[in-house]
Amino acid sequence: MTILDRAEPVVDQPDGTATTSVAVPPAGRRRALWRRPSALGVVVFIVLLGLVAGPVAMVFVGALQSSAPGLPDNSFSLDAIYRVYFSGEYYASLFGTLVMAVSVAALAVVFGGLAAWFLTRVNVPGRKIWEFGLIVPLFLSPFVGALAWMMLAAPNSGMINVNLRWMLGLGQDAVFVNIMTLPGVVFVMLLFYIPYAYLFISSALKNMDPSLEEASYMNGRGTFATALKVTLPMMRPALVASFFFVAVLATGVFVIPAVLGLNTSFSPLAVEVYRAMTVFPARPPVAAALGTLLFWFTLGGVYLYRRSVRNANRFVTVSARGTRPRLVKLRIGRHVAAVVFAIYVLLAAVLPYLVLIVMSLSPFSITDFRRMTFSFDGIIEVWSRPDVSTAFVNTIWLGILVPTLTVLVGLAVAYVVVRERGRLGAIVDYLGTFPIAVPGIVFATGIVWMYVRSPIYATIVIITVALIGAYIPQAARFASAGLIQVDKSLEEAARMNGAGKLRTITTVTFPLLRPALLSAWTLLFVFATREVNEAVILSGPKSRPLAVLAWNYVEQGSIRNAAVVGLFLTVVMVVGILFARFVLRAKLDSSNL
Amino acid sequence: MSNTIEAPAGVAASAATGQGAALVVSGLRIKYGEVEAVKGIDFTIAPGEFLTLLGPSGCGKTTTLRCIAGLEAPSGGTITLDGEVIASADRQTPPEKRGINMVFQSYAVWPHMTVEKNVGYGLKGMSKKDAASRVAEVLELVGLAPYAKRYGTELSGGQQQRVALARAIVTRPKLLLFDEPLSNLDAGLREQMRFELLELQRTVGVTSVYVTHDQTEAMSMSDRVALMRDGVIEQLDAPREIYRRPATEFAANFIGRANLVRGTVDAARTSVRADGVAVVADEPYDGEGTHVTAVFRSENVVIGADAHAYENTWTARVERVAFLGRHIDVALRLPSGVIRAEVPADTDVHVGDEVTAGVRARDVHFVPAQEG
Repeated sequence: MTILDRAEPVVDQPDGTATTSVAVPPAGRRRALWRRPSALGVVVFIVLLGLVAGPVAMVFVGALQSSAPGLPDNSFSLDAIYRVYFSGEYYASLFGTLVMAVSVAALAVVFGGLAAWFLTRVNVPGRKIWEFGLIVPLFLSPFVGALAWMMLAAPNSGMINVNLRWMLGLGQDAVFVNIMTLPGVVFVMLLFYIPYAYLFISSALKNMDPSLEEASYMNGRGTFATALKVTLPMMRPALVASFFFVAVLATGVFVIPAVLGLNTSFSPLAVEVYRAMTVFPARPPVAAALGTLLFWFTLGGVYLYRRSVRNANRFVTVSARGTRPRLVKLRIGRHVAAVVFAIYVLLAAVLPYLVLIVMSLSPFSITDFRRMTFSFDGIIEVWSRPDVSTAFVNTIWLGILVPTLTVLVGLAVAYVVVRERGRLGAIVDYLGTFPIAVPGIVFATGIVWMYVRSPIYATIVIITVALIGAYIPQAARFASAGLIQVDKSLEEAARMNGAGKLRTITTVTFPLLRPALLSAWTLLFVFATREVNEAVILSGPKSRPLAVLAWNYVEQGSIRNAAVVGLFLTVVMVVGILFARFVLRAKLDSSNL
Repeated sequence: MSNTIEAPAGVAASAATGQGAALVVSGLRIKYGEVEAVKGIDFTIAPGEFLTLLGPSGCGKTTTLRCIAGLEAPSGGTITLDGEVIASADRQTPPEKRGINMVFQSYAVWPHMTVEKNVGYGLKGMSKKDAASRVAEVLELVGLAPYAKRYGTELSGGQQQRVALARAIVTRPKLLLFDEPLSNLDAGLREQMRFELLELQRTVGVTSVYVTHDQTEAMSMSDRVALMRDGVIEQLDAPREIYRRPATEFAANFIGRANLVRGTVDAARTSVRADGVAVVADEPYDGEGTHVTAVFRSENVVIGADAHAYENTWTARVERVAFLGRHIDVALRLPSGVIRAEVPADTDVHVGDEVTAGVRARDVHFVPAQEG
């Protein structure tokens, strides 16, 4: 996932030798040698300047302007900065955002950590299914999830409330669950962010030397004492890292609170950025200034995250292969765990899509089971709208171009960082991971300021450019994890056989990295097709993808149409993932993400 | 330091015999950040010659090799191949344009290609038919013809080694580099490959530079050995010469086991005296200073009556006896210290015996004593 610098065991090539070593973090391994930058390095650097550094810089420029980008009477002004930082207008929003981010992160780590421990150390029935089930939400759209949960658990019209009322014979005002609250937003975020924490912690648990736990058993400690006194302290860096990682994600996400929080007084900073940018009267400098405010927090989170990852590498101990940790035998606990996993999969992946289908088929957004009628009229009606077919084309454009181009850029970035190193490599590494710290919606405001006068403004191209910039870190992480495991002498052998750098990369490096790059491609396909955070600011009527169109229907209150478009989007994503899995043969299990 | 070093005339003239070219390394320095891994080394390799860079790990031998290959850049000095400067601090020919090939320590057999594809990789720009016949020819030479369609990962270590070798010679390089190619093989296979590799090098006649830390490999394969330590060459000579006339204590110790007796050389420079022991040699000491170490090999130390006939005769006490099958390893206490002797297996020695030990003057060699 979007997890950088995960500690990975590196197995020396060729496979005959069984020596296993730990990947040293790039920073520590880089020797202070100076080399003339290669042509590739310079090109990558320039591309990153345009894709990453430019937009981020423009956020800060924008915050210091008096009015919208591209207007002739624009001048330097501190108004927006004053309003955001000092007027107090946004303090409540800032506070709410932090509470939300911290609670989501803490809960995601607790649940993700427990899930990881149970799935790596306990004989839970159906482990393989749950291992898969826990990463499924990564491939689903949080926006569609939030939409479905709104239809399920909105206070007045939500399916649960409406039907429980008549079933229990209670009055019109009875509310059983209310998803449109801060806890509701946290709950839906958790459904989608637990997998990140799970992936992170389970990879650390899998890499841990089993003999460390065995030694604890031999010293007379039981299962829980071992887990608490040996495993947990060893996992601390991974726990801390996943906490900050999820906190950064939760701080920057726009779409979940936007869908669920429209009726509540609380609105996170990301939503405020969106409002300042799009709601009349638009105040783009305020949006930019809010972006900078948000940026400081995510930057701090990323800094702490990277620091803990550096420690995580020190903690990882990889032993000889083939030794598996002893499985703890919990007689009742294992069944309880299986039930909890089943509930999670139900809530995160099954129920939302059932609701989505039901709502798409029922004509008037009726949530009362007694009065429901089903027909395909709604789907056909929405399908035949011209803006839907435009959105389809746009989504497919993004779904093909963004992952493909991003993987290529990411490979080049990783190559410069891992293979060429040097000072330029360090700069490229920094630029290439920077977008992690920039929430999509903030990045998008920077893109607006940067390209407002260019012909690509409000076209699908500008969304493509923005998404490539935003996803470079993910692609680069996959590519560099792969590159580190490809013995350097395999490339050197090609050079010695008369191949230039380009031929070496195309005939040796690229084929060997294919599995890693395919996994990256699939994941980025999912990201690009479901993306709302950036596209919502960047797209015009002609360049709207399906996800943004669905969001626009939500804004207009046309929930049924939103559900249908959300369903279309899901179909596109499923088809794409199946294509990647079975035609391209991408590997999508947890060890590859 | 001059930037253009011409290959010596004599070397260039003999280039016609093999397909190899002459290599001249001159004043080569290689720096990693603040650390200088190679501190100015010079050597020349004649066409078709097999030179080994030998030394302990961290001595700069692999760095030197990689610099010749073009995989590292020098910080000073030049490398000249076939009369053409291929590397200096300012300009380096890219590795693929040097006409050099290399056998890697890890073999670096590409796992996504068949043996055939691996070997034929470097034959770009050749007609398919010619390339195929070249590949077949080379695979025949290394005995891998039946495995042409296999993938690299389906082969054993020794077979992968042969693929790497075939891939390195198929391009008919001017210079062939070996980076500890046998270090990943088990002992038996290593010995067999050593002979195969040498035979192949002789057949092809290509100039070769071989890097190893294994003195047996270096001694048995090379025309000449460059013994390196801490980024400099300690001694460059034929294996036999290094063994018989080591230039330094390090050289004496690193190649074969040597007995060292440190002392002061006399005026005639043929005898070294140390703590009541005198060691004489045929060849006078021609180095500087008077602190001199006498070097002699343990297999030249004789015990018993025969020892009385030798120029160097000492009375010693037997401290330790180890039976090693072919011979007995004996530790002898002299007033100056302990020396080791390798004596025939039927020699009758016991711990605590007073024995006479002797060494011929012609088997003793003097080197400057190391400080400290």
